[in-house]
Amino acid sequence: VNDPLETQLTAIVFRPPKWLDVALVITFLATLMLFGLVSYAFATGIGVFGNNVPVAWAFPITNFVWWIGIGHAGTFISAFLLLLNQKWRASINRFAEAMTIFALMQAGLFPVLHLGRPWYAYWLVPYPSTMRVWPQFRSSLTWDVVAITTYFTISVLFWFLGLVPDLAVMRDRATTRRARIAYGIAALGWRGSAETWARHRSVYVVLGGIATPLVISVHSIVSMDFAIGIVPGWHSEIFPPFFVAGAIFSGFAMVLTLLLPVRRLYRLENVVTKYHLDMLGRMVLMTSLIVAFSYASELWNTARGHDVFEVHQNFYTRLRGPYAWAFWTTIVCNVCLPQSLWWKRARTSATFLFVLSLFIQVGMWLERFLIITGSLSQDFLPSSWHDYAPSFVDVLILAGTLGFFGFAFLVFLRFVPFIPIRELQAEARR
Amino acid sequence: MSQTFARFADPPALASAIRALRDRGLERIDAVTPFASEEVERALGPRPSRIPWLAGAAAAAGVVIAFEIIDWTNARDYALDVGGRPLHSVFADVPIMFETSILAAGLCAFFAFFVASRLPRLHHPWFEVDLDAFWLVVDARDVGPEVDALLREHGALETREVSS
Repeated sequence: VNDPLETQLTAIVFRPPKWLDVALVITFLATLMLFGLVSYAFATGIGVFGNNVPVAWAFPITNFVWWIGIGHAGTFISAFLLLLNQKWRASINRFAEAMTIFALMQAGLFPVLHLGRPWYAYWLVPYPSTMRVWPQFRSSLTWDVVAITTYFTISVLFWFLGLVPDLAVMRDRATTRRARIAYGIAALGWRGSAETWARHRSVYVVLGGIATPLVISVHSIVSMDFAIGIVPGWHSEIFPPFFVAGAIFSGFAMVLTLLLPVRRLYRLENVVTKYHLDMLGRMVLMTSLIVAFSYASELWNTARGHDVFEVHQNFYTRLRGPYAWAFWTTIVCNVCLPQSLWWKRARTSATFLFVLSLFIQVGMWLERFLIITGSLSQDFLPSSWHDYAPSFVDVLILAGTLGFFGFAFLVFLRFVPFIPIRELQAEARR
Repeated sequence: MSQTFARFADPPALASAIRALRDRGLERIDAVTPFASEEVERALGPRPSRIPWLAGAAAAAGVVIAFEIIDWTNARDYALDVGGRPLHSVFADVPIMFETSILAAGLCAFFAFFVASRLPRLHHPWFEVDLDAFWLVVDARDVGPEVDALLREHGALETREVSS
């Protein structure tokens, strides 16, 4: 079978563009910076962060929630849209799944970094030890551990299962012996008998079916870290759906941030068409509306309630007080700017979507920062109120995770067929 | 045991050849396709996978295992009274039970797929043919002059014998 699409999609991996090496070096240096700073924080103690009492969560947990959220769109695209039989997912699902895996790698760092003694992180796992002490499962911290390890494991399995047939394409198309051996081992001897294909599809649907409720549960559990606390601005029933919508919103923005440059640089306009951009734009608009509704609902419920500290938190600290800058930037980025997507011209313009997606990243990060830092800095005891300022270590670690994320993603682009070849061929036959 | 491979131009031709052989009562038929083809799978007849049921059982086991771990660790082996709250609250278990059940189902489905497909197996007689094509695979003992003629009639481009 001589398929021009197959030739195109394997050639972009076998003959990588020149800019890729430069980008790999830059992001690798950023990754080294991250590891250096993490070592510094471990060796000195987490006092190097700007965290204080009462603002004990601050940057690390903001980054954690933000990175986890970014992962969610990948699973949403690959699992949810698979079950809904949305054909347009086929061009971008592997790309989005890889984004999920690498975002989770960044997210997983932060709770560990943030522990007072990070080298005891394994105490959160229920293993039989001579201390005869077990983790406390009534604490939401242990829920996080289970949720994130499960999410990471299932994401990797789902991604790899979909990848195996395409690794076999790479094996069969490889021209050098080294590539043939490497892809041959990775493809596990895939032969493509009709029975295997049928089984592959049924298992893929099973994994999609369990990944769909999983993705919703993960950010719900993350939101419960806040919602089961009584801190003003946190103790709210709307948090699970609010966090899930925000997660998918920021994740779709990250898909656009990554996809649009890759589409341009690899000349994939024939695979990732304007139609795909249109659909992604609609998803961003939809989730933006849910997020906007959640903001409004929080203010409404606070106004209808009688808790002076909730009222102070939501109507003073955030709207007019020390965090007003973050609140209004969030509103502009997450509520106002995405309204442009009602127009089809905005949804199909790659440049516009790219710029918009950057604003949404900033907006969603600030939203989490606002929830965490705003609430902690002004809670029930005015005598202990304290402002927060990040240290340079905080800022550079966030920058370092962006570099590490970019590095992992570029390695993925370099070695893995990142557009599903076999799936697109099957789709084209239909 | 050896198998006869017959190459076809596209999935419809392959599917019609499979149907013709099955009408003659041949059972040991398989096919190779570069990408998933529902047409070919339909022609081969339904072979429903039992993996979804297995994954369901694993999910149920995951719920039970999570519940038991929490109960043993927090309510029995290391009972810690936190402000008089119940030692084992089922509501607080829900997130962990759910996640464990998903994890068990996912791992089970994933590994069951590879076991059932007899993978990984890096060496296989089938690699003697170019698998990037549409092949009908039939047990060589079933192939006589009649079957050979039937294959050609349905558009077989070439036939090969592969011994394993």
